[in-house]
Amino acid sequence: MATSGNYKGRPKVKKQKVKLEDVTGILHAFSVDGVRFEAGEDTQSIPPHANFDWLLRRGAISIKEG
Amino acid sequence: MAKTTGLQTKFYLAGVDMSADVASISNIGYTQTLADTTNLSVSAMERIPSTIDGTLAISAFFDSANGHSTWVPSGDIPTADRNAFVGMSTTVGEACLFGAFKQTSYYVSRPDAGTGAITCAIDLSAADGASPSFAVLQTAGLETNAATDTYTAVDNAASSASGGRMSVQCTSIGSGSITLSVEDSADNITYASLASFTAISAAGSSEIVSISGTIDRYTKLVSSGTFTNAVVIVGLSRS
Repeated sequence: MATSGNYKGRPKVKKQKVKLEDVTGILHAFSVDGVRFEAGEDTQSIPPHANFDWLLRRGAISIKEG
Repeated sequence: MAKTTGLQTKFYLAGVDMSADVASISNIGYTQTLADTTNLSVSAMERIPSTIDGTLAISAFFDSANGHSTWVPSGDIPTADRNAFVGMSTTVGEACLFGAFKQTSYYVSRPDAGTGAITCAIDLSAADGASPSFAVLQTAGLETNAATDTYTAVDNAASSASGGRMSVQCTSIGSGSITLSVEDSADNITYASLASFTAISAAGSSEIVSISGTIDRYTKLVSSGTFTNAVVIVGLSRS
């Protein structure tokens, strides 16, 4: 089978726009890998692989402006 | 999902496990009234969907204790809505049906001598303005939660956008108060609260809660509070 440089069978990993360092606060409780984070808790203990884009859409976190 | 027998089917009414009394259930589901809109421009029937209705027809054994006092709690046929729940499996993610029903009949029959037990027939009709909901179990059937726990996640394969409903029946609680919530997730890693039931502190509790908006691909039940041995079954439907 001919292949080209534009191989499209590779699974796409969607890059997250929001990263842990952008998170300024927890507004609503959520959990990551079964570990629960409550509103007002320190954000630094959130695992970096948490789905921050999704949490922002859900209104569970606040992020730096700009 | 696969074809299945009815061996794991259970029935709960207003927080009471009626499975040991019920012999069979029919009409698990709903009907849709069609309004006739046939007009001069067409040569066959034309119809549009109208109201949805749901009924449960139950055949049970007469039981002077648990059964009788649940079908007719005060000696009369109950007039208020009561939440019914049919669990069609004891596996998380499998089918169930729930809804708020009014009881329309309670007949007791005594067969010819020596041919069988005394039986009763109960009919329930949907009564809260919402269609009974075919749903998926968020618990492994009726499940005992000894302490704060997270249940197995259900993968719906995709998110849904039009909300849904969830229902709980609590048949027993040792002590304290349990709050059950459903969380959803897009990736089965990061979960956030979707909707919560009212805290439950007594056996014989049941509730149906409406959910609006997007329900993401994965859902799981979580519990909180200080309690012992809460025995609950929960289902969630997507619209």
